[in-house]
Amino acid sequence: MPQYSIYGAPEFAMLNVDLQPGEKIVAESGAMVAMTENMQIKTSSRGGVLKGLKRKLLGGESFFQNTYWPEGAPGRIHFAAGAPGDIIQATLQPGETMMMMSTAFICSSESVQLDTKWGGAKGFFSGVGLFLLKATGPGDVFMSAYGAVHPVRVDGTYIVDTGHIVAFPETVQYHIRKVGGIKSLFFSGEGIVAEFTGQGTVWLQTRNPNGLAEFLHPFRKVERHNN
Amino acid sequence: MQHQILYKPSYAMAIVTLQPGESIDVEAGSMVAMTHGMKIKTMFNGNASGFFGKIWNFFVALSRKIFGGETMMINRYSPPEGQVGQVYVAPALTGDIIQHKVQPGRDIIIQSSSYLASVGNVKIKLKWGGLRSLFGGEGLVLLRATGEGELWVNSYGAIYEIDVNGSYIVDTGHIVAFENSLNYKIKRVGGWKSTFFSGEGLVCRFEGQGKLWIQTRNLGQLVHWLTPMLPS
Amino acid sequence: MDIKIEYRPSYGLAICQLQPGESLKAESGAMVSMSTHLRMETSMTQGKGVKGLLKGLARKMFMGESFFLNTFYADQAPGEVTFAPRLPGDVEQTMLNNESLVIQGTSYMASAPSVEINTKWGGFKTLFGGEGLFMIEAKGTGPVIFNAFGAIHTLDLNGPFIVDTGHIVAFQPSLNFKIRRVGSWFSTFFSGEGLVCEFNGQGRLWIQSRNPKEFGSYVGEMLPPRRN
Repeated sequence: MPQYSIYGAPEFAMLNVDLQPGEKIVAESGAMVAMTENMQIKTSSRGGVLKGLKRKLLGGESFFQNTYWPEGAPGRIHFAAGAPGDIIQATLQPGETMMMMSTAFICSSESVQLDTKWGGAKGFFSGVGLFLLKATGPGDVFMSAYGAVHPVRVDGTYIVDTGHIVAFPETVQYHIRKVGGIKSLFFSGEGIVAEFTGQGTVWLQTRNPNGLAEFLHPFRKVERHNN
Repeated sequence: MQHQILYKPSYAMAIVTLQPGESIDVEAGSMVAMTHGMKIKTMFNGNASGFFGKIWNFFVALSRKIFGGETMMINRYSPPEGQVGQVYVAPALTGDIIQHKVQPGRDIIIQSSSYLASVGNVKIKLKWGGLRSLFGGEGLVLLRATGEGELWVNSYGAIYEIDVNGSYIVDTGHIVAFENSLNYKIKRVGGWKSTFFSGEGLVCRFEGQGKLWIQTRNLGQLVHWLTPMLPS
Repeated sequence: MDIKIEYRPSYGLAICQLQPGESLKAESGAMVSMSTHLRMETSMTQGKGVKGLLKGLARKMFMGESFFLNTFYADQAPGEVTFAPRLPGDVEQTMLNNESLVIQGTSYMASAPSVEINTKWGGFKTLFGGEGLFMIEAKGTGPVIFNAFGAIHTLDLNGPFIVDTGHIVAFQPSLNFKIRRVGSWFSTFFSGEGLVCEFNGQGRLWIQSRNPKEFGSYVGEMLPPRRN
């Protein structure tokens, strides 16, 4: 059984994974921080070629994922996400599913099935190329949060700003809406919210990537137009 | 000189108290606060002196800026005549600060953007890693700290110490610093397909015995993560 | 009203429980989650008519933030609303007791309606602050929630002290402040420090251990260019 430990939580969490020969782990492209020399890597495209192509055209999330395994002796590999924050570990039972933001996925055991579920049509995202990733057990899934992890036990209904959602189980349903009236729609700065109904734990992150993007936007260089 | 580092590991800030006659060199832009009356001298990064030295310093600083993500300037703070002074220092990115004693014969190699401050007789030199480091992909520019004194190094993310005894592979964007006793080599990860598509690009292979400090976040990955959410 | 701050000091989250009839004013965009039945209304920052509008506009122009505040009301039943700032960092609450607190514009997060929020235009001092050093004055009695980029460091001043303008979070109005150059003209342009704030007098000062502008420039340069 792979051994997992999390270092640097909750600020800049990094996942340490110890693998025995024969054990594998599937990770998001770019997530590897360091590893023992005997770790092998295989890069492959995510399931669903057509879906993959659509994603590639839209940009954002990568088309590829990496499978790592140790050769000849036990190996150690460290993973971290791009965003500053904590790591959530979810151990899924056979058939149990977890929906997560595509950008939150770090790695999972080989036995976890990963499917892309297009979230754009449902108005979930304001960014291009973002989608919902569906993970089905058995196995462990590790997700990154931008900020600290704040679990909310939903039993009835609860409203969450979509930028703060990391993951949620299939036992809750969501409905996208705007908060407040028309005036609020334009001026509240609250953006899109999700109203969750049902029973289950929704995983929130205490920072919103859109907020960071908005903050950094004026600091970007302006594109030069060449004619 | 006394110092303390507060708010580890994410928003670390160093508070350095200087006695009369002492001074501290600080990466430009890193001053948070200071006691009244401190003298400040702004210099280009680099250590040579004389006319040609100044030209050389300029180019060293310029190359660091282009490849290292670091500014070209260093500020030297010293307290007013006969008085004690205090400087509060913090880097631009969120993360940790560690202090290291630099001793003769035990150089520390630092990733350029990790240099924060130094006190005493510490010389910071640009370590030419050859073309390999230029193509490190993440602008892996390394500095060598030699001499005797104190060195403050910052990280983006938390700092994780690895005691290398044999070999270890690290993504170049995650290197903070390492002891000079380690050999390092930039190489591809996996096969060609992996090099282009794995998102890992080039990695650094460390060999030998010594301490290696890595950071748990990578600026390149932050950019990659944030880009889809940026307005055009 | 019960305000709890969790996940300090790195990713502070303010969790507010409102009793029926209570309300809370907050910076637009700060809401993370809330009970479904709470009512939210958007209004402009305090000030009536044209004067109020101008104050609001000034706030928008100089803080880079929108000039609207949201008020959350718990009408019939108690409810919960949580807030977070845009950048990683600490969140702190303080109780004002018929007093004032000057808060750096981007650090203000939320306050009870019994606290009057006014945009404080510091005149020429702030104009040459160069870093959009726009202040909010919170006056009255009640809780005020503010955030920092980085950790919050509290100093009780008794005499002169110099702070890089980007690191100021809040201070008691008993302190005087003066914006000035950090050293020689050469240093001012090249030191990376620019203008600093010299405080004098007695009072409490809150500073943050990271500078949003420094962070913004550093990372912003590495992001893909924008179209306008």
